[in-house]
Amino acid sequence: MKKELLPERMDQIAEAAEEMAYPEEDLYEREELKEQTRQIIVFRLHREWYGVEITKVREVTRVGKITYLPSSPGYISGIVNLRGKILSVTDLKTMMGLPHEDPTDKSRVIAVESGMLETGLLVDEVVESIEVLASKIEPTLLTLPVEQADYIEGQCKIDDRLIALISIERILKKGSANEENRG
Amino acid sequence: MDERTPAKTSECNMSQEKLTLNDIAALIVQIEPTDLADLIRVGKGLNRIAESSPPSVQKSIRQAVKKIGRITGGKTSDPSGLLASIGVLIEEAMDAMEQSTAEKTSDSNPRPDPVSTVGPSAEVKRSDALPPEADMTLVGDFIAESLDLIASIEAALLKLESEPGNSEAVNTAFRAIHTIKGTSAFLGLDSISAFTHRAESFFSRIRDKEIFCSGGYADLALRSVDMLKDLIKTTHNALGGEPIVEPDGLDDLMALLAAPEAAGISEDGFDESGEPEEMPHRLGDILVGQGKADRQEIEAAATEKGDQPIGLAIVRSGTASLAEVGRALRKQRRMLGTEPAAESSVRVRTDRLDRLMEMVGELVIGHSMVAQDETVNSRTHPELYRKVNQTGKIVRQMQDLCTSIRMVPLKATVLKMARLVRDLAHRRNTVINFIPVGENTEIDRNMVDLINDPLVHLVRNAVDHGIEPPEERERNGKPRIGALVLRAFHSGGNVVVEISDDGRGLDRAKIVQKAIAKGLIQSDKDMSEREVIDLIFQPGFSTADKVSDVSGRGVGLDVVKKAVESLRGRIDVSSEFGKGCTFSLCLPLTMAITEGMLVKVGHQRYILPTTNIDMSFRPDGHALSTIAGRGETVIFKDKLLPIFRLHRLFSIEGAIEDPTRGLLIIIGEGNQRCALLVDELVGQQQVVAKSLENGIGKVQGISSGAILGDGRVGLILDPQEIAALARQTSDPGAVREAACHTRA
Repeated sequence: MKKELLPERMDQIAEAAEEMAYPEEDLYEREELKEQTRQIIVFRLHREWYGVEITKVREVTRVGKITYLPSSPGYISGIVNLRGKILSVTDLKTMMGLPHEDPTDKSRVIAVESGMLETGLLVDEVVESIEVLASKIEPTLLTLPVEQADYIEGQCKIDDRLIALISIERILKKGSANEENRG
Repeated sequence: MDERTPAKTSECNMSQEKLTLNDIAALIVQIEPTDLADLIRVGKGLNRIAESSPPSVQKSIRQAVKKIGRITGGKTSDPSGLLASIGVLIEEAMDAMEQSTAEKTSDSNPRPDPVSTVGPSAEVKRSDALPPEADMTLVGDFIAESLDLIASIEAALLKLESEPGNSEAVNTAFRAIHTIKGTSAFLGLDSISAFTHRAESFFSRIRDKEIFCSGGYADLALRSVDMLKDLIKTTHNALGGEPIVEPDGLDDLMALLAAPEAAGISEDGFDESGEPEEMPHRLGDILVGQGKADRQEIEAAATEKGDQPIGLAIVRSGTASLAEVGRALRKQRRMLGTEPAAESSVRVRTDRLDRLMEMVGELVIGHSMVAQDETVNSRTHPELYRKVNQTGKIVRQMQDLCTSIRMVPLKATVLKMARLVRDLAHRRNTVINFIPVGENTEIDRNMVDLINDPLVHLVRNAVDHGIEPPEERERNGKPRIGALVLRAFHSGGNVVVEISDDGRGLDRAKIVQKAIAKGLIQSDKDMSEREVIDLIFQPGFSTADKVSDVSGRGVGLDVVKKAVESLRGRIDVSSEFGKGCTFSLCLPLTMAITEGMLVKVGHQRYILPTTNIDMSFRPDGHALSTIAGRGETVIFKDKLLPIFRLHRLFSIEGAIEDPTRGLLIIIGEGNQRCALLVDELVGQQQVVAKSLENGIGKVQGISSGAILGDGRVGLILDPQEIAALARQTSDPGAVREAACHTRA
């Protein structure tokens, strides 16, 4: 049995089919948007704000007892026990040329990794975890000394706070280059 | 043991030349095509057997005799190939013989022998109906039960496909087939029981690890299960009144199951992941490995054997039966084709084991932190105290278990050495009797690889320098064949591996001469025997007059010593000139756990491995002196030793500066000996050594790190590196300067 369809009805069906084939445009856009944001862990060094990308962070722990490592460069605070694994602790403040302070109650070690290398970043305080639009991240300020500028991969401003993004790769590279020199 | 084996040990007295087929099978494997006398003897023996054999056996035997005739008559260009085909014929004859013997005995002895490889089998009767006496209900139950069992066999075989070494799966399949066989025999279902009997024999070979369920064998196993399914189906049909039709190819498959190798079925296509296990290639080792004979008895038979082949010697001494030896010989032949063999264990990746070990180590520390907590120890909570103690026991057991998981017998290493000795001796045209003792002694898996090189070196040394050529041995009134004993045993938390030879022993005069020539010493005046012997461990020392490809490539025993010391072990040597020499390696059971002394320097604590510590003492003021106002020394046992201050080497503040208030620890050996100044000894501690390499890098003077009882990281000192470090920066001022540089 065959039934003739009204032209209007046919248009409606075509519309519905199109909708099914291409779901809500909004949603589509939002996904694209998501690709362009970066999740950042914000921390404090002295009176400055810094951030690391969360994908590089394994965990954040309280500062345990740090064992001093003989004949190690000044920016290595020593080594700690991270649940059975021995982790070196990098003193970011020394690396960034900031004044030395003893760890406080708020101090934390951010265990970061990239490739086969890992280290713990000693920071004064872990503040929050934020989502930043990639487009809001700007290139490093050219006024920084060359050495420090090398550890920063970008900066962004969130609520009047200037956050410098730390390049984990370059920090780890520094450690391993030193290792080679010593060996 | 196989009671139906035609050849009993007592019957096989060669002087009466009453050879059985098994004797001949054993002989054929060992005979060289040029051994005409033996070939003729085999020919005669075969003729005699043929006379009293059923026709089925005679055919193969006659063919074999003909082939022997062609070899002895020199009418062939490929005697070895012919000899191999004779072997096949004799195996065929053996199968036929066993089958015909079984026909007479199978009724009275329905239980099969699980170790028999070519089991007897009743001749398949072609019946067109179920046996009249069979109870139909029982047969129905049997069919249902069998189908369940077949399902379980299939599951097991498929499991074997992915895990070829799974012994549990093999056992499941074997037991299931055994059950079907038993029930079918009871019900008088002859064709099923005959077939399952063959299949069972085949599976028993897999179970005994004689063959490996892979490649052609796996295929055969699957085919036999399919056949069994068909057989059960026909029986099921017979219940419905249909005549029993024997499934196609039953006879062929039965023949295949009896002797798959004869049809060219092998383990080919098998690809073992990981390194293949080194398997025994010696007949004796195979028999011992199968549990058929005792190591000592085999060794005894081997020493008394004289000119006769080892197989016969073993049989004659009554150590193992002929059938077993024959089987072992066949196995040996297969193994010489370098096929890998199975392991009846679960393979676990070492890094996972290491991680497990690490986690358990953490658990131990975590637990001890709980146990030391004030709340637990205040005795106001007796219940809590009791519970914590209880968990403590479990944690310790877990730690022990974890350590034992990593332990493997030294057997594989010993077998490698056996092979090495044989090859080396062969190259030097001598024979050396290698006697392993205690090869089941266990050692940490990681250590096995590490001790291999030192052992190879020592074995080569013994063969090249130690054991004299046969003529020289004879002149010195020693047996022509030299002996090399490798003995392994546990001693006080250590593994000791000794390599003793009965060769020349160490020659003091020669060592001294060499050492002077190499400029190691001026003269041996006032040198004790021990001191002279220790010279052989000096770098660049080698007493071999000629350089051979066996040893003496310029690397000496100093390399061995270093390797052993890096394993935190010790090497000792004892020797009697003209009688022989024994090197003994004393190694820790595991590298994972370090026995150490905790020392305090300022606020830092370090672990000094106990094996490196000679002794510790607080020096008197007058034992101390300085040279040129700088180099500090201490008189210890009438010798002047340099003092190195750990706090200066590592630039640690707040340490004790005055040696008379601190503690001197004597470390190192020979000219590396020195005294290390620390504040005090805190105590003894077992620690799990962890590498610092990843992301931290090598720190001179430190071998590794470890988690201490309070959860802190402790550093394990490397005495050799510390001595080297101290010498590099022997000017204390320079050290202090360097310290300021690194520690602002």
